[in-house]
Amino acid sequence: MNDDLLADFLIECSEVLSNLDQELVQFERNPGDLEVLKNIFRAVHSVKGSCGIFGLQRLERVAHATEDVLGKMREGTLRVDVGSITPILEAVDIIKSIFAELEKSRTEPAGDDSQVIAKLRALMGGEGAAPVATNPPASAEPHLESSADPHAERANPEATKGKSISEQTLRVQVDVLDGLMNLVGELVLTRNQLIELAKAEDESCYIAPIQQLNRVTSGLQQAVMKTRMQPVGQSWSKLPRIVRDLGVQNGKDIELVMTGQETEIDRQILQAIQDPLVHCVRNSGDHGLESSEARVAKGKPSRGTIHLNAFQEGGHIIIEIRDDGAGIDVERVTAKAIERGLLTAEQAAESTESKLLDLIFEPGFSTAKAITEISGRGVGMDVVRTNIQRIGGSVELSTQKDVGTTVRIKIPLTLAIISALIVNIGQESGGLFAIQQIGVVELVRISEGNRHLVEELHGSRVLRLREKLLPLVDTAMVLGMLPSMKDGAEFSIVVAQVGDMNFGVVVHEIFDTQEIVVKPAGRLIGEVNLFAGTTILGDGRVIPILDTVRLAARASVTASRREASDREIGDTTARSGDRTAFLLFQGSGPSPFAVPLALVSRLEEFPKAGIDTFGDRFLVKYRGGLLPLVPCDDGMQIENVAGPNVPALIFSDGKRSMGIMVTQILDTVEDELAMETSGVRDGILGAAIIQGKTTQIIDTYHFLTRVYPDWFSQDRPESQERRHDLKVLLVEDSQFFRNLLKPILESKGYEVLAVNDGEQALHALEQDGPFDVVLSDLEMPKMDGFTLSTKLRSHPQWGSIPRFALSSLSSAEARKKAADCGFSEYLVKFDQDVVLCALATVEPGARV
Amino acid sequence: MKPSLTDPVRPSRADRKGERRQNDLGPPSGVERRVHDGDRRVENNVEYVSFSVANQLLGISVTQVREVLPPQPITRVPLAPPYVAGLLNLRGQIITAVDLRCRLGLPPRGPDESFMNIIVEDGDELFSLVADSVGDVIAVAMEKFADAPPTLDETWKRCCDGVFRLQKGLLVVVNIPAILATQQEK
Repeated sequence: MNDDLLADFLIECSEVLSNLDQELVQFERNPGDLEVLKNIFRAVHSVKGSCGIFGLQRLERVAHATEDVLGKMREGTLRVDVGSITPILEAVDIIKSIFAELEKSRTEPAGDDSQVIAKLRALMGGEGAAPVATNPPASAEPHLESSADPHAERANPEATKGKSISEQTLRVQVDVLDGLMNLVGELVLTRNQLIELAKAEDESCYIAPIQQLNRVTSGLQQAVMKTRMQPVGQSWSKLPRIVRDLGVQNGKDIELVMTGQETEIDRQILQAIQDPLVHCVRNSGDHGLESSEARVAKGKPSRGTIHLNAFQEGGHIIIEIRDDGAGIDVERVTAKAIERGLLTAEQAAESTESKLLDLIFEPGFSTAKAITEISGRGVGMDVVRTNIQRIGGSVELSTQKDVGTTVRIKIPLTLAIISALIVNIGQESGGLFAIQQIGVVELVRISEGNRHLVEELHGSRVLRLREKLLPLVDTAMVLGMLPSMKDGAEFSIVVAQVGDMNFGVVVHEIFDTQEIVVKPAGRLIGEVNLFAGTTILGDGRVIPILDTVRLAARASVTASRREASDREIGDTTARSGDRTAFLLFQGSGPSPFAVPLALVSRLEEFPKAGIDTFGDRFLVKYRGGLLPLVPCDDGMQIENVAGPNVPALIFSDGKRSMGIMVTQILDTVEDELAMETSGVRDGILGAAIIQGKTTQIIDTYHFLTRVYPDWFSQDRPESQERRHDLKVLLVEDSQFFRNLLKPILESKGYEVLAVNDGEQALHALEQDGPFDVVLSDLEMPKMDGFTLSTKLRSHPQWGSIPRFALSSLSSAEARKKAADCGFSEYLVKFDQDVVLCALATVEPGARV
Repeated sequence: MKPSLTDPVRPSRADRKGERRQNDLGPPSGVERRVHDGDRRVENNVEYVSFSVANQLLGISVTQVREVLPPQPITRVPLAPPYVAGLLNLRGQIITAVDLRCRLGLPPRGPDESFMNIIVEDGDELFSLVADSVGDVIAVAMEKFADAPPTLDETWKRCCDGVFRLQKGLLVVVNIPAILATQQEK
């Protein structure tokens, strides 16, 4: 047997076969589609045709029988339905398994296919045959032989439509691409070194060529990354078959809709998400969707839909798996979690719905009443989340009873070049390490002023951060070095998210963020099992990349997290009340400024030389784009900033980012605030006393709209006429915001009642109504805003009161969720204008 | 022709990088000269890069040595096996350095004593073997090869292929895969 010829045959057939499943399922749905039938035919025919040459008798027999049945369908003498497609699918499975063995051993495996062949033969002589298509189009080619002829294929525009792309492509070994990527990585590092060298000289004659090199290298890097990109749809080709089998086995009618298949993603990531994706789709089909009868009883269409959608959002790819099934029963999840000892009934009563939903991601959790063949394989959502997190992604879940469930997977575009924090661990005795920035939530510097944030709890140290206790891992100690957390020492904490918990990675010092090229750690270092790889810094130094997931596991943070991290302090001590975390910084003057920390996405430092000035606008290169910068006050000059770098607070709403330049970042504090809002000027919300100093709270809205006038993108009416006759119910757990918003609204003539949470709101509606509008925060204890709005929506009396969501969460998910729960507007908390304009649209008199 | 499945047309790593593999290319970069031990006319000669570790003469076949480098900055890696000296940057490639003194159970090098990096490849990965000094490339006749003496220390026995009896003493031939085996493989 000619090995090369056989190899060619195998490659060709594996492509043909990978499409076959999808086409068969499509055909089953739409039996009149002769074009699809022709493709299926061509596939089976070409397999059968070549069998003779290679003497593959088993393959030939199965393919032959299959082809015969397909021929009957094609002639219209055999009905296309579940009964006739199932044996064909079985036959295709056998063909595939034979191919798999052929690829391995080059010989056809032995096996008995008589059962399948008998089933196929039975169909041939079967009763009840009916025409497939009542009106076969005249253009359809009646002869099978011609369909195997490449020229005939080309003559048919329909058949070639999908192939035009493949004809312009070239098959390249993955090794070659990986090699290319490695070389580009080395080039990037060399460029970084050159830039460092050129920086050292004041007037280097190399600057211009190095800048050119810089541009070319970036271009090359992007181009090479592109070669590794594959449409995400390639990992979906198995799914239609899986869903179809799922439907047949469970007696459900399921349609799989796939959109955004063309979205491109790095092949390394594509492989990593394959299994999690299959699991999620299986979950949807198995647990999510109801049986046809149950659906009809609920007044839904009998056919359930699973919608798979992929799209790019910023530097990430989002994959959504959405079903229109029963939704996740939060009560059942809670009951199960309590039964498994994951939390106590009291804790459950205190938790928000989203937190309870998160229990699904706990190891070993499965809500299926009966473990089914399909999804009860011991692989839970925890594995899905772990796998996605390993590649720097995240998984979110949202659900609504009888409306459906959406799983949202967010993954980075590539793994080869990542953004990382460069940190020092273990001071002089230790060295530099990189920490992947994805997963990093925030950074906290512990020094004299805020040392009280670190506390002892059951003998281990924890960080008190916004009413949560985060377990701390002294990385230096894990790495066998002198601990960083010593009495009186200053250190930094990288707050990282692993799974559903946050924990603090304690390091000696945090330097900056860099785009780094990830290189394998080597097998001797790999044994340490704490490093995700290694990288080379601009100055040529080699540093290891710390894997926070493994660090958490090593420090057994996960085991004790129920005791420390996830418990709100309110459980053990008196609720510390309405404290808000603020970031303090310095502008041109001596008095400090503050901004609510929750609004700041990141802190960065930019080299002065890298900031370009255009009139009164400033721009800096950042994460592959240009980031607009504005000074925090009018007197601030870049030249006056000490040191070579300008610190900046980065604000981001997912799509757009901007930075506010400051002269110095001072601290983060958590404090109860009494803010004076009178006599404020542009850009300042008001003044407050923080740590004994008069501190100006900046109005982020002012800065954001200065750069992006449409940042908040609401079509706001220009008129701000006063309303004197509206009664507003303000639901907000933070005293700071209640105190901020209530006087502002009252000064505009509204009558305002402020309450703490959703439960109190329901009470107030009963006792103190009627109200014209409900302004509600989203994240609250006891009953959150989502639950409140959902409850109000279905309420006969209060259902018609307009509900506006008030939030500092600017994520698209939160917006969508708010809209799903019946909020008609989504308002950013810190922007009084937006709130006032929204209220101005409310018609008085409709109050109930 | 399309590449076949089981035998992909894939150049070996050495060929891909355009680096040396054959011993007829001359001594690896960094090694000064080539000497012969004994009779030049012996046909069945093999060439070894000689180096010393705590005064013991060791050798690695020239075909296995990629290059020899002067001391490089080395990043220590916490929790790594004790004989892993750290990581070094060879023109953008990250290489694990193995301290032969520690690996072979010899006393550690003093802080002022110099060392050399012998770059070798094993299992598709590059390593640096850290030795005290690197000597000549020595051509020796295969006839002079002998198994390791049975009295040799266990660690040494595992890490060496055998010895050459040279005029000036014994040259221990290093077994690279054994030196670089991970804990599990051992």
